[in-house]
Amino acid sequence: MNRKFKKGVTTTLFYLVVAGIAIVIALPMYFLFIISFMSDQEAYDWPITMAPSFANRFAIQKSERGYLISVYSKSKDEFVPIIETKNLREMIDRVELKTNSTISMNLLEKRIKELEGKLQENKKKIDELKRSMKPYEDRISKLNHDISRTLSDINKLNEKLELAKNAGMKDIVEVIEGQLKTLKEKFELYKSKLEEVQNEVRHLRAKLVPLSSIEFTVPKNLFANYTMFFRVTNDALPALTRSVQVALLTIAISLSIGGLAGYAFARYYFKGKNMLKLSVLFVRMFPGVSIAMPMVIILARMGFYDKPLGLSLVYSIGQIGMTTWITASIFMGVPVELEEAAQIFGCSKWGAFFHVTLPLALPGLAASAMYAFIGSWSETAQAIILTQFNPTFPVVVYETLVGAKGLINLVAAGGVTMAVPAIVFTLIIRRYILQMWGGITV
Amino acid sequence: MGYYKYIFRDPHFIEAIINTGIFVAISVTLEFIIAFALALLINKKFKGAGALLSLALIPMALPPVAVGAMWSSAFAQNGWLNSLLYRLGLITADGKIPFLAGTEMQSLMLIILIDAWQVIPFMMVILLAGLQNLPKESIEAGYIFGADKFTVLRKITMPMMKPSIQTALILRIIAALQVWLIIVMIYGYRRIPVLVEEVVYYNEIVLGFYRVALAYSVIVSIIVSIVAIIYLKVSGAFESSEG
Repeated sequence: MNRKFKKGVTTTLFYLVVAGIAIVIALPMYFLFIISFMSDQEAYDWPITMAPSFANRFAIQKSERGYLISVYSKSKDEFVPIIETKNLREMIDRVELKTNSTISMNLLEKRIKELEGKLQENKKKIDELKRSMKPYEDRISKLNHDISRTLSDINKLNEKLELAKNAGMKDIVEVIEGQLKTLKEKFELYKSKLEEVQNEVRHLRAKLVPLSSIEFTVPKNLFANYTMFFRVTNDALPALTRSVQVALLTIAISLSIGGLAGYAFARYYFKGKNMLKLSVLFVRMFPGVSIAMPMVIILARMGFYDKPLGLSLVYSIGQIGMTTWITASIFMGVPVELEEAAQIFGCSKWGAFFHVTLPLALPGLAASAMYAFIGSWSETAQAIILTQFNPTFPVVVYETLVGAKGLINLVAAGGVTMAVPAIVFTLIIRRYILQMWGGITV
Repeated sequence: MGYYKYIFRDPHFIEAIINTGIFVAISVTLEFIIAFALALLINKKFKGAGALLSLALIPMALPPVAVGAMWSSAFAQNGWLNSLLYRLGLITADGKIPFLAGTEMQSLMLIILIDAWQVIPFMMVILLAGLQNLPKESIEAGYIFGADKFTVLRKITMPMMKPSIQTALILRIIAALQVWLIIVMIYGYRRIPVLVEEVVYYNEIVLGFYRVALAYSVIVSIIVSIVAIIYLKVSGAFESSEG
């Protein structure tokens, strides 16, 4: 019994540790994901909600300068004002910008009509409440005045205290300290009183709000940040196509050269094979930025600078090595005997390769193509150096991130757009990636 | 040669060298220890180990810009990390932690943590491969001779895994020498200068210093090459015909 219990405890602890690891890995990604769906209003709220909302609740009130529209904030548990205006078009635009909800003109006009009716209906009660609020508001302003005066007095006394202390006049120091104490007590008293009155006012206002405002709910456009990202950064859409272009070109170059090299490494023995294979790996380890620097001049001379082709050429430098390694091991996995058998049955050497080896190696080749895609898709450092007016997508995201600190939800949308293909491809070729580092099976 | 003289006289160069050194030393040690522990854990082949491994592969695959966006939204004053701590009751509303306002050393530690989050899975995969290729018999022999778990780990598992430990460490050192993008995305240029960041700084931010940037990149390449050659020597890649 005891042993069983002990085992249960250790298993539970073990899974707790595992769950902790999983949470640490997944949590940041989860937040990146949900922030990319948040409106400005949500993303800058404190504290941030743990899940994005799918609709916004609005309240509209009549005010001196037209109408005041506010949106419900889950974290603050109250309505936060957005804009106060007579111009309904302006109101709609601002609301859309802040909350990602589009209120139609029709709906807004209807709600305002309802609001007017409600105000007419409850006029008496509203007036009464407002009248009862008036004395409290006067007291608040008086208390505020008192508080600021006491504060300035305290500051003055502090200065005096400093002077007296420096001069070494003990009795005066004592007197001032006594005065300071009473002042501070006074200050605390005012503050607590102010809080009391403010609470009272809040209470009254809570009564007033349902009488004088109309609430309504409008669905949120979840993907607003994504469309916004492409609209705000006017480079984003061409950059995205450019990124795909570069990735495809990189696959084409590295797979055609690296694949052939891999086949040679797998099938033939030649002098310097080992050295060549090592050098291929060595290039891979070389710092990307250092490779990119001289490439600026070389590509500019060739006329490829700031063009997808130039970028993919540079990416291929690193990718060819990787592709060679992967494809070599893939071709090694296809037995030579099969090729020989095909040749016995009358195939030419090429025919044997195209009809026997290639189909068998195809899944592996697809995996190495995806690997090359991930590499060139997410590469940022070299792209920053090698592009100027035609950046790739990661560079655009990077520039938005570094340049504009205030657009975190837009940047998150860009980041998620980048991450999704990379993650999908990684999970598809998971087996190959694990194999690359020595055949892991779980 | 004038450009090299310029670099060696630049106080930022010394700072960059020191920062890079600290970063490499601390991040590699920390990541190695955690990755090794994780590899031992996953090697137990419990239920869900496959799922955990798949999950661990994702940070490895994330594009650097996505990681930058993730963590800069985390460390903002009103960011999600503070919100989460607040909701868990660990901090008060006034006690928001100003993550980004620390000293240079603290900032460097923060970057190391971020880097660890992304890189540990990679190291873990290499070490896991090494662990799985170990012959079970030798470990069992250790237990039979009365060694406890820790002794077996220290005296048998670690020495036998030497090749994959070397691979993991040196690949990591080489990558750690080249860290810069995440620093710039979270702190901007020149807050924590590191070597490769200086290359990009002179190339992109200040104009007309292209040759200084080139000289910097030569210095970085030399350092990295030395480490890489040491790796290839140590791992015996020059001798073995298999590669």
